[in-house]
Amino acid sequence: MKLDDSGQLSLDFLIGFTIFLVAFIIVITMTSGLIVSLMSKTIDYDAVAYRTGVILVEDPGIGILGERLDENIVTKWEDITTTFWADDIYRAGLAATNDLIKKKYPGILSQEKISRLVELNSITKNEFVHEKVLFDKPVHQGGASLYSYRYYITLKSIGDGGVLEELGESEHPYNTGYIKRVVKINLTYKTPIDVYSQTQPGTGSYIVSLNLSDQSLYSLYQPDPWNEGVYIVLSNVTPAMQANFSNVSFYQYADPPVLINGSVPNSTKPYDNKIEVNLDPDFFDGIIEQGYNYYFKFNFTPDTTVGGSTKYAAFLPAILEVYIW
Amino acid sequence: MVDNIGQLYTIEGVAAAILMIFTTYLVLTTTTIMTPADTHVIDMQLEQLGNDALAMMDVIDPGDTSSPLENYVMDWISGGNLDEFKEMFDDYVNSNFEGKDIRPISFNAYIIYRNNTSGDVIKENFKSGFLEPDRSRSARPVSVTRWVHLTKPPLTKPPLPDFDSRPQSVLLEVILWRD
Repeated sequence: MKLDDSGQLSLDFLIGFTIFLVAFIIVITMTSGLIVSLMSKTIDYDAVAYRTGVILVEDPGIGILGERLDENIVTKWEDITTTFWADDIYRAGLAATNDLIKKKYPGILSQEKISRLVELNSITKNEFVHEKVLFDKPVHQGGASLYSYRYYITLKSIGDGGVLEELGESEHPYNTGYIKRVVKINLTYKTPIDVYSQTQPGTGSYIVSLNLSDQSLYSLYQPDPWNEGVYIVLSNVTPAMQANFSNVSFYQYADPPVLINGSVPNSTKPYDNKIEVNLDPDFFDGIIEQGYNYYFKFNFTPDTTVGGSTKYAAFLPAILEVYIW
Repeated sequence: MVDNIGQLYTIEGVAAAILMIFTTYLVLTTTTIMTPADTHVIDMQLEQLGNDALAMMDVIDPGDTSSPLENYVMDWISGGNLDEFKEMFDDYVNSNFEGKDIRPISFNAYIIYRNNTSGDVIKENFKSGFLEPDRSRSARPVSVTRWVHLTKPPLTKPPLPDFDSRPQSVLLEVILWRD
């Protein structure tokens, strides 16, 4: 019998091939990471998150009453309370503006719009944001609406990190489309006023002006009593001053001043040393007009030394975060 | 009969391995593939955040006549420190930390203005207390800018060389990165 080693693997070949194979595997593992990030899904989610952030932060939104766009009955979306509000509201942006079309104040959000958005979203069980902010058209399946995206939107105050509002599902996966925006919230027109005694001779009254004629102010900073009401706080009011406080009357600036309301609703807070006037928009219906100036007069009897300065509430800095998946 | 034609030797395996690994190493280190997912979006998010923070710092609060940003820049060019600017900017970009942001954002600021004597545009870095991006690490700085309109001339003589004492606009540049 003749021994022959054809068809036999030599040890040399085995070692060489093993080294080659190991190297080949290393190369594959090195290069595979190159293309994994080209996966397009997260890019899409990030784009939707960005778009949603822009609509919420930079757009005042729009509502159109009536059937056709060319009828031009453009109105603030948050004011729409018709039965067909779902059709009449086109976009639900949150940017504060007194101007309907011009996007003058990107980044400054209206508290009124935020509240309305939260309200409508809770009525519609999270569908409102899908339809009017994400523009996510649902697929209807057996009575249920299926959306392409899921969302979680939060608004947190910067100072203490407290959650102001949240929309959507708080349980979200780790990898989502994401955008974070810094915003400021325009709270309702609040006028906290500190009153210090002995700063000026007693006049028996303290006057807070409501100027609706100053067109030089940015429209954002103009009081809007028709929509936001008026809230005035006199703080640092001593118990003695509180005892002398009688009522608040409302005048129009003129010569002589025109009395509009002799005693507007008010309340005293003995423990906080405060006198408050908190008026709803309804109060101002039909009694005031743009272009005129008005004032509130806090009356004290007998004469009490009051004085002070008017301070306005600053915008509230906040963080808006959008998660999309 | 045994012969060696078509036979792979150990030495050839080693050569092939070295060749492959070295080539891959070269390709990986010399080419930067800018995939939108891993760089562009993160840069965009950082840039958006920086722009937002500057824009919101430049909002005039009701009852005020100038924005916090204008006040800080005025302090700054009048020789004051930038602690308040740093604190506010840090608050704005680094708040709500437990979100998707893993690392805090560091930043540095520059001011770009016109030299009154030469007419040149000068970029001045206010180094005191600011960090510098560590280029050896994964820091990828992005730059955001904002024109800050100074409505009043600086009160004292500015420490900046030939800064004109008049109302003007200066460009504020902030570099942001994650360490």
